[in-house]
Amino acid sequence: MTSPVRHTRRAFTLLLGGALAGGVNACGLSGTGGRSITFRMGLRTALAPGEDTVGVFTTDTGWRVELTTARMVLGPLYLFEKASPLQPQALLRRLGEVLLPGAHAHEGDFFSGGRVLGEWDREVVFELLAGGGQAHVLGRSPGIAGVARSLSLLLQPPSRALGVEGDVMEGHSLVLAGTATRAEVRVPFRLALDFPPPVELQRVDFVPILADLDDEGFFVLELQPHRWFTGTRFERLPLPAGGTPVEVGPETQVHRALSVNVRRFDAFTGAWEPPEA
Amino acid sequence: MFIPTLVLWLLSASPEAPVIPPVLVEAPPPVMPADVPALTQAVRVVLRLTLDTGGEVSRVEVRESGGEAFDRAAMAAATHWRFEPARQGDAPLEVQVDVPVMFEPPALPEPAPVATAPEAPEAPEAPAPADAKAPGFSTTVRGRSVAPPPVAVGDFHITVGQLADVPRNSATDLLLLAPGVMLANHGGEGHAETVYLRGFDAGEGKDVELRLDGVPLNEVSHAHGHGYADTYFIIPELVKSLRVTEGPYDPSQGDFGVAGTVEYQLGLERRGITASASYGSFASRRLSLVWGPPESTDATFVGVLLRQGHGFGPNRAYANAGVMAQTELRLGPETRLRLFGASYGARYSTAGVVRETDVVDARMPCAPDAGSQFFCLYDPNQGGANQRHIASVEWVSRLERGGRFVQQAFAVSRQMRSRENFTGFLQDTPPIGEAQRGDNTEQSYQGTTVGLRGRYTPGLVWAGQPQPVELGYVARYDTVHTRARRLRDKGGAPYATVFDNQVRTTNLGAYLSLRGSPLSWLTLRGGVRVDTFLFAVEDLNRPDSDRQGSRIPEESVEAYGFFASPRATAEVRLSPRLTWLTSAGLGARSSDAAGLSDAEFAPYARVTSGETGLGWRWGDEAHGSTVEARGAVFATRVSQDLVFSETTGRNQPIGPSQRLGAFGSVRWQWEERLDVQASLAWARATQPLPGASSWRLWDGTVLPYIPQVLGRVDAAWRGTATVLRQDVGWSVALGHSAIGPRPLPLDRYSAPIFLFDVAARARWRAVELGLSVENLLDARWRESEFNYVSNFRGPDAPASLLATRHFSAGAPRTVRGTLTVYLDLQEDKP
Repeated sequence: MTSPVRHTRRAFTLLLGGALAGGVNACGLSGTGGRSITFRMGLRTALAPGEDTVGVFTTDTGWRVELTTARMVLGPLYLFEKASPLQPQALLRRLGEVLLPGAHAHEGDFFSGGRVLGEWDREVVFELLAGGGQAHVLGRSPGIAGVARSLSLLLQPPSRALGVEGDVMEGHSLVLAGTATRAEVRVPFRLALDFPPPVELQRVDFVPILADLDDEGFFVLELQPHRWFTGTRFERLPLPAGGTPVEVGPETQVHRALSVNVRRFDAFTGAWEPPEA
Repeated sequence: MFIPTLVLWLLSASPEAPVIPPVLVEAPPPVMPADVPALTQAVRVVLRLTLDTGGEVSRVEVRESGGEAFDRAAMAAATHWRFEPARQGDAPLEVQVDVPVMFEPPALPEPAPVATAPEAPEAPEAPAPADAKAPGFSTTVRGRSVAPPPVAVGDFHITVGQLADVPRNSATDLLLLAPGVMLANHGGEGHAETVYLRGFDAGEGKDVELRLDGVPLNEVSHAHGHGYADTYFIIPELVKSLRVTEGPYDPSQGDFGVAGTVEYQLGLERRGITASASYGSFASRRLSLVWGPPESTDATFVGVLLRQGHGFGPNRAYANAGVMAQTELRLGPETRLRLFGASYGARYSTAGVVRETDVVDARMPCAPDAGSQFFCLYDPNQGGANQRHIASVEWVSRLERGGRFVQQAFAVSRQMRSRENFTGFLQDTPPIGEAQRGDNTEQSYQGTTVGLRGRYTPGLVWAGQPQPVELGYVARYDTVHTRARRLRDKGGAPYATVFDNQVRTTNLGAYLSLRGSPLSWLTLRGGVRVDTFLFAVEDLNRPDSDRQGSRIPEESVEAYGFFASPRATAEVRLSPRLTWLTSAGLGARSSDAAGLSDAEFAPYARVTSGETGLGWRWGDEAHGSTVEARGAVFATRVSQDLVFSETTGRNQPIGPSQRLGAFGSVRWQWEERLDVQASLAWARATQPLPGASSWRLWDGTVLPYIPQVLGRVDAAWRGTATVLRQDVGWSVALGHSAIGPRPLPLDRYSAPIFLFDVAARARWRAVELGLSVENLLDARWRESEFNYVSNFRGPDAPASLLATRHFSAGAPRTVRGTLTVYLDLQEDKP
């Protein structure tokens, strides 16, 4: 129950505060530069081109992959103001870069993407196949209004900070299971990827995005598992008898390809959905 | 109240030559005894003074008593009076004069115009030649005690007086008596306060010069920040007055006087013994004991202060003790020697800062209720310890023609260790395979300062102006070891050194100031100050190998700097009560030795400042009240400013900055009953646009955290009442701070803050009971706010890279009861 004294105190504080704040704010915003915003952050698994089911796609090597299990630990996620150096550029600009390369000094942050405009500063265990391609909302995130042109995220084993939520990962960073089929060959597989430190081997940098961040918008990180399997050669996996899934070990080509591909800048992308008017 | 009327009966001159009577030079009025009931009629005390050939009062006798308390007050004042000696021809004479001193209920001194030069004491009425063998004539002298003239509208000589009744935690809080001051403490009770003044975030002293009766308190190249000045050791009961000079307008202002200069002036007016014990919220205990022998002046005193408490939340315990003592010795009629010493030791814990998002989401490691979350903390290994020892000798000689020659030598030894964690687990680059070890930063500082300070005011009269010239100097040598190291989160062992410097600096400064009145309504003051600095830095934290192989991990750096800063003021007397002052000046802050390069001409932060404003003073003799009001606008530009960096836990350069502001203040004193002071200040601090004109003071990015609007009210009311036929003295006091919304990064403002402190006391004979309540409304307020990147989730958690708001919690409602006993040593006859 709120006491009358508390009411009086609050009214008094509001009165004085209103007068002072009104006086100061009459001149506008504080003038310190930038503008803080709050927007929603989410995750979504992208459909492969031409597909209508999440986790089903055909690789460039002709394998039809159908994932039955796909979960990973990802985060934190940072949205940067500077563009990815891997982003396609105009020919003239590229020529200029070749003739007069810019100096790249260390700026103190691990990625010289400039200012961080938005972030999800926690790890999350994401079930890629859940939700049927709908975005999973992580929550609201503070940020700075402006155009974010690249993102960076971290892939790592579940840390203690994740708590029991990470138990399902059994210490792995990425767990995939499914079936790869080509012609008459059917390869059921199970695979786990780990991304131990150093942090340089855990980061996915330079993911190009274009998001005009503003209040109440929705930024979705899209995972593109169909790109992760680029160049995978399931035919090189030894097929166990009895149709049991192949445990894809780190010595295999598939494992190595996935290990590289998942950390490529095009393994993820981002989409910005402005607030509804 | 006191009417400073002196009646002098002088012996007549010899037949050979006329006797020129003594002329009053200086006569501070007696202080109304605090331990007597309010007067209903006048009390008269007649003193017989013996004036020696130097014009000094060499002996005081009571010819006509007005009661012991009044006799003692009159005698205490008389020992400070000074005369030009009586003369017969050229020969000075020793004479005796009887001086009646009146204590009257409604009376008050004649109004002295504020912001004007002090008027010379009214000369005696022209003595008529008289028979040499008999007291042939009498004369009346009206003496007047006024503070030195202000050098600018923002030059405040603040007598604490009755406003000492307003609750204050430490002597640092007395700074709030100056307009435009805000204090904040993110480091705990024992850590220096951050001072916001005139639109400056003056840090813990980087932009404000702090002195204690001439002894410098700013510490050069301190590990926590260049200019760090801790005033927590000053015993508030011994602070008689403050001089706060806002802006660099006085040639005597030295290093760090960028936003201004604060000088604490010590004295104990109440003689005898005063013992006080307090107990209050959060087990806070305070014990103070001050005393001064009745037969000595207020410059002789001893004070002891002990403080201890659990603090207003977890990890905020503190304990400290201090002693301050001073003796004034008279070495002949024209020379006084003051010996001062202080010793202080403190230890404290601190909760540090917390992330706003963690408090709002109740993620702090405390109980989930809002109160517990607000006062919670991340890292309990935060706190510090201080030691400080001061010795000072001051020699004051009065010259024949009214001049003064003052010499002071001082030595300061101090040690400080502080542990603070602003970022959690972010700064460390751990060895491969290891987790972050934590960002707790230990800053340690050990140093010794020795120095000389002096001024010379020849007793000249030029163009009708007495003492138009003053020369001064300061010589200061510091040798300090300043170091910062990172501590492991577990165990607290140091694992990395941020910097480790042995620094020696020599600061030599001198100034000349002049004053003249070319017109009856115009007074010009001006001067120039020259400062030189020599820095010698031994960097003990260099790598032990480089591209050319192994090397010794140390390096020496030397640098020299020189700066001349002219300062001037024009004072126009618009009416007897209204004065218009316009001031301009340059000032400087020395370089942080930690950032110097070898053999460079040491860069200074140079400040250019100007202000113009009005001062007005009004006195109503009939009703015994005075009102003094001031107001001014000012502009300031700094060539190299510093702002707090969370990564190093200290201030780092950001380039030039500028300020535009205004302030107004008023003080109303009514007899010894009511004393009210109120002030309102506004300032806007910006970083100028690159290449913009110096006159575009409004443009630029606003500097965050610096409050733009500050208001303050101090009020104290004293009286007497009769309870059970006993006279009981009482007082009530109020202190109110209003801090406007502070600009925060990303165009945001913080919430405004309104704090109310109240106190009440009742005294019966020698015993007084008091009750004080600070933060009466129990406001949840943020004492400091920052905006930066941190990671307090743990060494394994991913780091946030987005700056977010952090704050340190301000104290909640705090209640304290006090028992005070006054022992006036009545057996000591005046």
